[in-house]
Amino acid sequence: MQTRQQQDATLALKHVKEILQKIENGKNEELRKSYVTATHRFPFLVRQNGLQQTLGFYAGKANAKENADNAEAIFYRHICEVLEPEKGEDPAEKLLGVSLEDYMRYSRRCLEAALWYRRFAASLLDDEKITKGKEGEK
Amino acid sequence: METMCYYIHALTALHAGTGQGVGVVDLPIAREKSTGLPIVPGSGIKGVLREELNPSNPGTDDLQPCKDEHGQDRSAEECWLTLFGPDAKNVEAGKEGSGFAGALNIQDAQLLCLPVRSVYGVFAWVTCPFILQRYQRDLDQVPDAPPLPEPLCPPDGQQGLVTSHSKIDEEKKVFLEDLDFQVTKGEGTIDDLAAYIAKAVFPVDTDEWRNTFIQRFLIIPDNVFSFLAETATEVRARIRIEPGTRTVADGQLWYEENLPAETLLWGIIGCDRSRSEKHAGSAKELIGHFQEKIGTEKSLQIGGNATVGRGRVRWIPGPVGG
Repeated sequence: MQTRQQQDATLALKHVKEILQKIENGKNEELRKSYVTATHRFPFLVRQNGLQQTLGFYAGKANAKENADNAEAIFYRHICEVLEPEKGEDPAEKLLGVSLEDYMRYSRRCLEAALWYRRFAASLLDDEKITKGKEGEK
Repeated sequence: METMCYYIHALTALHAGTGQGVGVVDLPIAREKSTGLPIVPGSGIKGVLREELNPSNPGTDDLQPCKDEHGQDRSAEECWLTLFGPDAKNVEAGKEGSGFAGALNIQDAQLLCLPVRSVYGVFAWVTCPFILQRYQRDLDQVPDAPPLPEPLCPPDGQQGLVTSHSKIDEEKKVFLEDLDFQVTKGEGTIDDLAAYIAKAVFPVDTDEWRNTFIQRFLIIPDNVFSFLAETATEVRARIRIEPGTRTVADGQLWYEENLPAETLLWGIIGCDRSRSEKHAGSAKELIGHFQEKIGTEKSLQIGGNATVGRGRVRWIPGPVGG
């Protein structure tokens, strides 16, 4: 048995490390900056606008064809894993059909999980670390 | 021990903070560990009252000289020190003799009604059965407080209760933030309960503000209230501008949480006998002096960020008993 914090942290660390891998493999500076921003803004947007609105905002970015692999799209897929969608189910649509109790539960779950994304993104993807890494390679 | 009740009505956003947080907001407000409900710590309220009544502060509404229970004169300074205790630094420096505890113990202010945005009536003053149960328990400690009409529970899991004079409902529905409730109007003691709180919080106002409260009073289920108390507080983004460039300084964006304007809180103040070696005094006498000076209500600044407009409140004393 694990605490929810452990589960959230494990998932967030896995996802942020995937981003780190993508950045280090290529020269994707834009992805790094945008992903850090997406993780930073998400909990604040949930607090200001509610979970449904915030997921809708990120889903809109994710659905834009020309930006299908932008940072918001990737983060949207990451955070939606917390909602435990069925295979092929759109998480934002799933939220439309849940009861008030479930909506409140998912809002809290997403906020808790989002904090780990924010922390790991800040600690693993920040400017200084990446700069130092590049200098080390040189 | 004498006890009295007090109320806080936030007129602006109120930031009773806990310093740096690691959660959603960088500077969160103080919350009770066991319930997660917002509080204003008693220490902050005591500090503000102490300064407000300090006789040596020019222009403050200080305590006047008074007589103790034996008819002996007691200076304003002595009275103030007996109530709030001496400053620890002055005691260490030998200016105020030996240290002793002040007679007042000011407990944390608890959330009574949270203002939540509503489609009808602008906003609702929302509370829940659990809060009312705790409020009643505290009022039981103040024998002179009139008994609270029996707190109510909304009849069904997702329903709410509004008063007969409610302005926040339309076709038996209330629309808060992004939550809709089926509501029952004027059931049981809700009108009496709303009138009780309105009278306590607006003791000297005309009927106008009491009616404003009664028209917006709403009881919702505990679990929904707990969610709103977590998510319906106000979060503000702050920045620091770099003077040279007039742009946001690097890394200088942060988020602060506030209790929204119109929040209502209640708390209890206990008053013990004097612990001063120089001046004896019973609890009844001391709380009498305190209550006399406080009057019916005070306009105070509580919590942080006063210079950017936070924390202006009405502080309202309730009845005394013991």
